[in-house]
Amino acid sequence: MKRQSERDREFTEFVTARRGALTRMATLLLTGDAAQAEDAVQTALTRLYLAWPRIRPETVNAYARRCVVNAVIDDRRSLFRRRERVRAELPDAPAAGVPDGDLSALVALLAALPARMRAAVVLRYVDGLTVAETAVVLQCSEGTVKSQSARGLERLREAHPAYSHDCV
Amino acid sequence: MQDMIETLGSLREKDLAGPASAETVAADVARARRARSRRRLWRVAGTGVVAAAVATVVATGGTTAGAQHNEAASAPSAPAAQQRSATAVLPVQLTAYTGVQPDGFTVATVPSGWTVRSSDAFAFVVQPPGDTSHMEGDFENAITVMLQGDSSGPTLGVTPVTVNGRPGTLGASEGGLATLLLFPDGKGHQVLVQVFTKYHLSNAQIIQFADGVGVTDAVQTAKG
Repeated sequence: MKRQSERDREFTEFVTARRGALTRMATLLLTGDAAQAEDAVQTALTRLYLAWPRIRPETVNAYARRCVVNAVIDDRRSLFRRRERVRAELPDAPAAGVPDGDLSALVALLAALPARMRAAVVLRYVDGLTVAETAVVLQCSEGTVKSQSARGLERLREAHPAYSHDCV
Repeated sequence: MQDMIETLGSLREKDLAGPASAETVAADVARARRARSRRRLWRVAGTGVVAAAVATVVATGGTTAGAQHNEAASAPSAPAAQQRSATAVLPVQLTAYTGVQPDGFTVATVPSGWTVRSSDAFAFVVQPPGDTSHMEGDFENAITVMLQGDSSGPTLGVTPVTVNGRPGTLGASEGGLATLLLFPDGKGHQVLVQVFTKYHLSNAQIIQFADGVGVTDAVQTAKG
């Protein structure tokens, strides 16, 4: 049985260690909007804290990611529904290509993907989760993760042919 | 040439927001603690409603344990006025639970049509049909089986009842949103069943549900 102070200490250690990664994930899921990402992370961390006593240590990372994904979805429902347009064609890629480390160009490419596809790509290839881990976070089947992440990669490569030589 | 997977992977090393400062982390913790306090206050706000329910139970209760058990078993777990106004709520019927048993408990019955929200060594949580608004591990608006741990148990209108031949206590939670049934399993555990009153299970149904609950060796107490 944990006392309040011990709960706060554990939570503080987790936030200190993981906040940056959660913010990066939220930023990419929210197409680079840092302010909305910060809101989503704050919401997610509050939900995480409320559930903290019931979360097993081995699942806390997955739970935190799921909180962020859900917070992003909530955020999109309230703010982004009217703003986002799902397009059949990706916007023009930068003429000079996407140089290594060109963060804004990568974010722009990711932003053109549908939300669930973007989430699968970010979790799989940015955060480096396995298919199974991604399925847990997104609360979907592993088949859906494979399908969404593969299609997402395909669309990103179509948007930038320089990356079309590799395969999943 | 860097491929797309490698390029995406390189983002892992990017610190898009900068390192979290001690002040930012402290603000996160403070914000979360305030949310926890607000939730507790919100629960307390329902005390007036519960007082009416408690008065109903007390007014109809007997003086012996057996009589109290019988009265408690027949008394509604929500105020009559609240029940009258909840015409959209369908009556709950318990049915045999045929799903996968949780690691920490065995469960014999669940409300008909309800689904499992989460099930592990810590808790077994079932929710009404169509409820997709809660995450796994969330005990709100559900029926939950868990060990008492540091939970306070029933605090309002506490009535002695019998569960599987052992003495238990039935009453409302601190804020009145849930009916709590606390009972021993005979192996040293105190089992807590939490039923949100909005679903209008009668006390008899809650006791019937608890009669079907067992504790396995794998059970764990939620910390907190």
